[in-house]
Amino acid sequence: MHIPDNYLSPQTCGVMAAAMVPVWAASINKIKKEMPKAKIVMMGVAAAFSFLAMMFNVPIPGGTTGHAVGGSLIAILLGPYAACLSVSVALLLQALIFGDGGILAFGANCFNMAFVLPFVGYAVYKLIAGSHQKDTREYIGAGIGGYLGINGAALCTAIEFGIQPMLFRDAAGSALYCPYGLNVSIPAMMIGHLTLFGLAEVIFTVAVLAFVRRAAPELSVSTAQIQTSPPLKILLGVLIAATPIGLFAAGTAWGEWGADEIAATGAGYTPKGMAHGFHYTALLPDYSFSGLPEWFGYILSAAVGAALLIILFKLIGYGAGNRSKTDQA
Amino acid sequence: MRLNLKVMEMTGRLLRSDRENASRKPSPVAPALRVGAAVLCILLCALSQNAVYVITVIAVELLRLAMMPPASILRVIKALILPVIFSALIMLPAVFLGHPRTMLTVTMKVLESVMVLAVMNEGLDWREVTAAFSAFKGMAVFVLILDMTMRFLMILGDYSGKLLEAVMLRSVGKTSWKNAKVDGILGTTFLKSRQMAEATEEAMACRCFNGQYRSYHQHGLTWRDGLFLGVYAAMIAFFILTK
Repeated sequence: MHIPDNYLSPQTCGVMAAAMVPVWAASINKIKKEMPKAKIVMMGVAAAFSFLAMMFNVPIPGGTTGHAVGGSLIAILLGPYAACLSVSVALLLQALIFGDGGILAFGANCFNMAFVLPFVGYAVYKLIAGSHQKDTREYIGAGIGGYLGINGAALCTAIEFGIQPMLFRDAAGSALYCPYGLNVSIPAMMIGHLTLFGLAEVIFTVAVLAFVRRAAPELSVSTAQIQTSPPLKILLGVLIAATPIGLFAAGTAWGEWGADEIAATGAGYTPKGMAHGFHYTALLPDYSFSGLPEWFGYILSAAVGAALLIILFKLIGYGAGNRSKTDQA
Repeated sequence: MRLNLKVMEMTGRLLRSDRENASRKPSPVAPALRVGAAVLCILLCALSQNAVYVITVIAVELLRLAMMPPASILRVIKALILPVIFSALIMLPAVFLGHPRTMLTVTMKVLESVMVLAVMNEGLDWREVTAAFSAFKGMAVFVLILDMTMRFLMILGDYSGKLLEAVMLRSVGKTSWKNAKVDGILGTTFLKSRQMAEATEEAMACRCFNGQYRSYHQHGLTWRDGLFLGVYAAMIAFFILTK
């Protein structure tokens, strides 16, 4: 679901980024007003979980892969606004350091995975679960919320891909950016997400929610002193060590091919906008280190990514805590 | 003036460290083993021919750092910034000479070394570090010097602070005392330190103290220490594997 650069026109990227600005502003405002400073640390842990969830690729017949996002889970645990910021930061890190998702398409990726997914997931969860906690109804709500959330995000992604050939063509009538119209992009994206990827999101959401409710109930309670609890550290460690499982899924996710691969996927040509578009070389492209076995590079990338996210949010929480102390003084 | 502020900052850090560590539980693993592991880690990184070992250590240290309190994280990052930028700048000509990897490798090794030490420092009290050195044979003189330095930093810092305050009270009008009196303050502090050193030597002789510290908390090897020795083995094995 990570849209790479040059699949969407710069105009589309600009519109999507502009659409995200008020969402980010509202989220930051809401977090500043309502979230205890100590809980900002948990946003980092949540972002790390989302980052790791996105590394577990699931294959589907036809040679493409997909993954869970974990946005609904974060929305259930910390609220949709916190989920929006956590997933946005995880996506930024993926784009900048690991080259997963485009720099220009960052706004579009955030719209799909950091806005649509957690907000839809949370609304459905609230509708079903109400105020029930640690209850079967809560888990059913979380599962359905996660499923509809990821499918809502996939549908938005498919529409963004599909409108490109309708809006942007050269004089010869060839698409400038993504060459697949809505008739191809919607079924291609939705078949995988309605089946296996949706199921992966349901399993991830319900399993981690059940674990967290049992092992670290302080995560969802407004306590002043929240530490990274030992069970969460263990879970994080297990997820990092298990990330190479994602490598078993051979193939590339639909819509995430390189410019050199797109012609062979059925398009028959490389659109001009993709061939001569913006190109950014990430520090560690595709979660790999040169000279290292792929599985080991994957583990190191997972460790570095998760650690950086936790450190970043801890420092933000610390800075915000110090500022509010100064304001009170 | 700046020097004096630095001394005061150092004194403040020691006092703060004492206050923070007063309620902390002692390290579950023998401090000597932890210091040894840090030294071994830095040594192996320096010897490693490729980036694999260094990147792995950085990833592990980043994870350890992520689990620390935010104040500790901030201190570690502050300690990292200057050496990393400095080494990157020093190695910058390598990029223009066509060896960008050399710059990256050296900068990463500096980052790794400082990070290992800074993270270790956050987990250990300075007294534990001093005690750790005493566990190594022939390090008694080093421990004595280190301990004396730490103590006299506080005493002399306090003394020079008072001197500065006295100079400030006596200054009238617009005088350039900031520059003119620094040598006087430093000179007086030096003379005082000589007197104190002599007094300390006499006090040591009176108490039959030959500079050899005896630890009252005998830290025998526990099962945790045994497990920690596995970290040594893992580090060496990984180094050989990735060589």
